[in-house]
Amino acid sequence: MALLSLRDVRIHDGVGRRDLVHGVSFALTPGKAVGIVGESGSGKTLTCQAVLGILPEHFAVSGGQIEIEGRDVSTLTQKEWTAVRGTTIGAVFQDPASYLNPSLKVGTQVAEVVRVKKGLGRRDARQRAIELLGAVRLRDPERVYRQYPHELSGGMLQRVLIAAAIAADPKVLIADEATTALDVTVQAEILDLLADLRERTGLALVVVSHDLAVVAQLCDEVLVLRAGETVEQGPVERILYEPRHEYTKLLIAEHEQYGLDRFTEEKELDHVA
Amino acid sequence: MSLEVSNLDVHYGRTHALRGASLSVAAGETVGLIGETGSGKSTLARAVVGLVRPSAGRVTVAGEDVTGYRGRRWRALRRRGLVQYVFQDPLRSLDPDLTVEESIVEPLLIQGRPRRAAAERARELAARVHLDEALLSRLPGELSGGQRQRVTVARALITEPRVVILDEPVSALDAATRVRALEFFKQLRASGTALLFISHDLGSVAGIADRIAVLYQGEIVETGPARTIVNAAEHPYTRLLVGSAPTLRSAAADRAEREELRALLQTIGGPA
Repeated sequence: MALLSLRDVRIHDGVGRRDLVHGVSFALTPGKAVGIVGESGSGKTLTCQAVLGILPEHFAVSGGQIEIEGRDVSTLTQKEWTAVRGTTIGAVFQDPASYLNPSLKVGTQVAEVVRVKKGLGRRDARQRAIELLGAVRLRDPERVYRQYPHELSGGMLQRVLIAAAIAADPKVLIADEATTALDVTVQAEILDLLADLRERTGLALVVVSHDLAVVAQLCDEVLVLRAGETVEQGPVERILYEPRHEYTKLLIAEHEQYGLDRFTEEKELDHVA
Repeated sequence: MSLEVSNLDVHYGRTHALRGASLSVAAGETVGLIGETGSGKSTLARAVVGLVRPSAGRVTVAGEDVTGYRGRRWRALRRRGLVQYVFQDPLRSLDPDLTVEESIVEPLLIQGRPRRAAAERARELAARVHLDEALLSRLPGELSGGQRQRVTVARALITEPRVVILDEPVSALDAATRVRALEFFKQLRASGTALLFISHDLGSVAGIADRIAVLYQGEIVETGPARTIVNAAEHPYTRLLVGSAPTLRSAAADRAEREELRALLQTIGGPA
C-alpha cells in the first residue's frame, strides 16, 4: 500500500478565486523517493502544504484526493492531523533558523518533540534527542544539544531540523527546498544524509527543488511542475534521457550547456573511449 | 591585463580575510571566482573596487596601479567607470524612484556628459542588452527580475568599462531567464570586456568561464581552465566542491568519495 498518494489534487485560492494547482498525482511507497521540480509559483510548496494539512488561510484542496496510509485526509480532525504530522509524515523547509526558537537550546527543542510525540520522560527524551543529533551526523551531539540556534551554521541548523522531523520515526519526509539556501558542499552533505537515512531506515522522501539536478540525485520518480500544471512525470532516467516537454528540455539543456554536466560527460566519454 | 590582483591581503581587525590572493583577467576573458560563505570572495571583489582597503598587495586596472588610491583619486577613477560592479540583487541596486533610462544614464551625467547624448547612449545600451526600448520609461518595480538585471548591466556598460565584476549574476533568475542571461554574457565577452563572475556555485558558471579560481578560507587554492578544474582538480577542496555540485547524469563524485574528501579536508585544517 502507498504511504502517501495524491490523485489529481487541485488547490484553490479563495481570494484570487482561481485554482493554483491543477491536478497533481503521485504515489509514494516505503523507501521510495519522489521529486517535484518547479520554479517559485509552480505550486510545489502548496502541494506539500496540502499533504501536511497546513495550507495557508483562503487556500483549500478543491479537487482530487490525498491519502496517507490509505486514509483520505479530508476526513481527518485537527487532533488526527496532529497525530499524523511527525509520526507518519515529517517535513523540513528552506530556512531552518525560522523554525527554531532563538532563545531555547536546540537540544531542548528536539527533546520537546520526542516528549510530545513519543511520550518519553524528560531524561529519556534528552537521551533520545542526543541520539538523533548524532544520527544526523552532527559532530559532538552532546555539545550541540546545549547550543542556541545562533551558534550553529545553516547546515548544522538544517541537520537539527531533520533530527526533529525524524524524531517520531515518520515513514515519509518532505524536504521542500531544504538545501536551497546552503553552500554547495553543505547542500551535498544534507542530500547525502537524506540518501543515507532512506537506505538505513527505509524513510520515503518527497524532494522539492527548483533544481532538476538535486531531484535527479535522490529520486526514483520526478514530476515537473509549471504554473500549477504537471507538464511531465515519469521515472528519473526517462525524464533525463528522453524528456518530452519543452520546459524539461530547457532545464536539461541549461545543465548541459552551462553546468558541470558539460565537462563531466566529456570525461565519461573519455573513459569509454 | 585588464585586471591584475597580486598577493592581496585583507584584514578585518584580527581576522585575516584574504591571504596573498593573486588573480588576473585579460580583455575578452571570463574568469569565475568561486567560493562559499566566508571564503573571502566578496572581500576580494570589494578590494578591487576600493570598498575595502587591503593591508598588502596590489590591484591594477588596465595597467594603472590603483592600490594606493584614496579619496579624490578614487572618486575620479570611479567616475571614469573603468571597473563596474554589478550587485547580486538588481531590485535593491536600482533606485526605485528613477526610471530605467534615468538609472542607465546616471553614470554619464555624473561624468558631466550632456543629457541628450546620454539618452541616445541609453537606447544603444538597451538594444545591446536586449531590453525593449519601451521599458526605458518604466520604474524598476514594474520589471521582471531578468529585465532588471539587464538594466543594471546596461548601466554598468555605459561607461565602457574594461572590467565588469558580476556578483552572483544568475542565481536569482529562473531557468529560462538564466540561459538568456548567460548567452548575453558570452556576447559581452566576445566584445572584449574582461568579466569576473563571482559565485558560490561552480555549476552556475562552469559553462561560461574560461578560467576558474577557487577561494577557500581566504586563499586561492587553485586556478585553471574550467575543464581542468572540473575534471582534474588537484586541491581536495576543489575536488569536494566539484563533487558536491549536483549534476544530471554523470556525477562528478559519489557519496563515498565526498566522505573521503571531507575527512581529508578535516585533517589538513578544514572549516570549524
